[in-house]
Amino acid sequence: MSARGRWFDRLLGLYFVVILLFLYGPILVMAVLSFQGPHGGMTFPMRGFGFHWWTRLFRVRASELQEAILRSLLVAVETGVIAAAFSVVIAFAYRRRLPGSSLLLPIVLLALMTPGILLGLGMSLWWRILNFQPGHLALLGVHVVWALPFAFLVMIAVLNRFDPRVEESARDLGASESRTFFEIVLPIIWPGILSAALFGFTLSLNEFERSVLVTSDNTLPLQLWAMLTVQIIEPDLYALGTLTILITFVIVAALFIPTVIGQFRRLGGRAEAGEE
Amino acid sequence: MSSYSLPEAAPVPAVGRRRLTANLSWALLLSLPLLWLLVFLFVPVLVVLVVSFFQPTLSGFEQSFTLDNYRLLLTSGPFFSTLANTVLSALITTVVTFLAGFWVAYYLALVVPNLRSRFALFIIALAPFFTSFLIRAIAWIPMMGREGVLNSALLSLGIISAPLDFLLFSNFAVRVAMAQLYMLFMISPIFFSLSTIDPAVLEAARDMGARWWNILWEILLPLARPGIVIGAVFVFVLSMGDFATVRLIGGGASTSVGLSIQNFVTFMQFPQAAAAAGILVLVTVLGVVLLLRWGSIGEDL
Repeated sequence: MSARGRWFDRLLGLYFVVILLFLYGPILVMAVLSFQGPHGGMTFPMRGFGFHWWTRLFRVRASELQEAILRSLLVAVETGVIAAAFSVVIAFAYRRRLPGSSLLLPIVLLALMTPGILLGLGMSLWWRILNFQPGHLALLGVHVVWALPFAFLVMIAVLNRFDPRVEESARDLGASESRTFFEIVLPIIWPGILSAALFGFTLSLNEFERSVLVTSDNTLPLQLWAMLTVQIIEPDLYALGTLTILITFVIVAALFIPTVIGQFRRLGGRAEAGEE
Repeated sequence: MSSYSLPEAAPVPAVGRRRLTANLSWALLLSLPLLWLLVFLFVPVLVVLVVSFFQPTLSGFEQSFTLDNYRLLLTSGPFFSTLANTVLSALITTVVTFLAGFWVAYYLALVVPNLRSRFALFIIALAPFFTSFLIRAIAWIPMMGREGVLNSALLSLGIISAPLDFLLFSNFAVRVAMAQLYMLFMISPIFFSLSTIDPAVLEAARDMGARWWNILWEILLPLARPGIVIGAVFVFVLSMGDFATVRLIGGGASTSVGLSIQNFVTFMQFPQAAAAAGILVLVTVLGVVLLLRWGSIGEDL
């Protein structure tokens, strides 16, 4: 490649770092400010340094947040499981090209693109017309709608890597459809299903826009919203924010590190062999 | 084909029947997620559209048809400027995320040499998307405030002599924050389209004397177009529907249709909220259709 090309590539590398700073900068600033001294405010300068606000988060806030956290975890686990199960079914129907399955992708994308506020409003009106109490089921409903497209895309990626010959040979050897699925296919795609579930769990845990009009029982993001819009905000919210972001990053790392290594073994190994 | 397959014709019906029952059971299973989407996606959206034609009452609505909700909104100056501001913010966010995000996708897909670091860097860029939107929105407050990081930096560098007020609680702040929140929806699809380009094509173009802007205009942009269109649709739709960022970062100085919907609901004015949502959907769909048409122009030629 020309010297000019290399120079341009280096410039792009620098630019990538700038964008990472744009994406991560505010989060880092928030994390630093959560270690404000007791008299420090929501912005710099730091007035001292310590765990004052973190202690306050666990001593004072924890009790008022406990209920919301438990509710969030419950709905997130349910969302993960249901979205993963649904995504397997939709992905298999899509792959087998059942009649009408070409409509599945647009339908799933529609779920992704429906504005959260519209869906939340619709759910609350629909439940009002049916005279149902707004609450857990409605919340779970919209969370699954939000998580399903992502879980589906994960499953499609997993099935694209899946070698159909394995399935065919099981069938040729006389295994029934259900036996082939449960004893051959399922063990192979199991890690993918787990990723889809974790995806759904994370998305549900942080979901806000679809939930806000749907339930009066606060989840963690809803409780946070109430604090942000009604109360005077203090640095202990930065501590809470930093904590939830850390938890999310741990889940994302658990999700992707095996995938990255797997991709490398599969694609990288082949590409390197090909280059020789 | 026909003469060759004749001797093997006998087992085919059995396999075919088995395949049919398998397909049938998958179709039965498929009815579960479809039912779920019906109850929790399609009906709710339909209900919004229906209620938007209902007569408002003090505590809700009664089921009699009226166009008043739309008439009142569309003849109201404040709602119109809210709508205009929403569309403007969405367009600016879409353009900014494209201009900024394209080069990130380009770097990841075509410059980073090996696959492992390519995926690793992509996931590092992707990770913030999974964290809470609310938290990432409030994280902008210490960056942009009067005593925030940006103002302090500019002051100490001597670029400005007094803190800039427009950095927080303004349309500007909302658009910057939205660009950050939604950038990943632009980068990912462009990254995937650019990843499918064979580097040998670019090599060949370079060897034959193409300059970098020729490569950009005549190879990269046309091949990345599907990704760009998908990314633009994502970012446009998400920023059209946004209200949390507008509320937290706009702090009253910025408005959006999403925020008006939430305000209507707070006052139990459901038909008005539904009509505002109806207008939001209409304008959003119009924008998406224009984007898709623009996206397919090149393919017709």
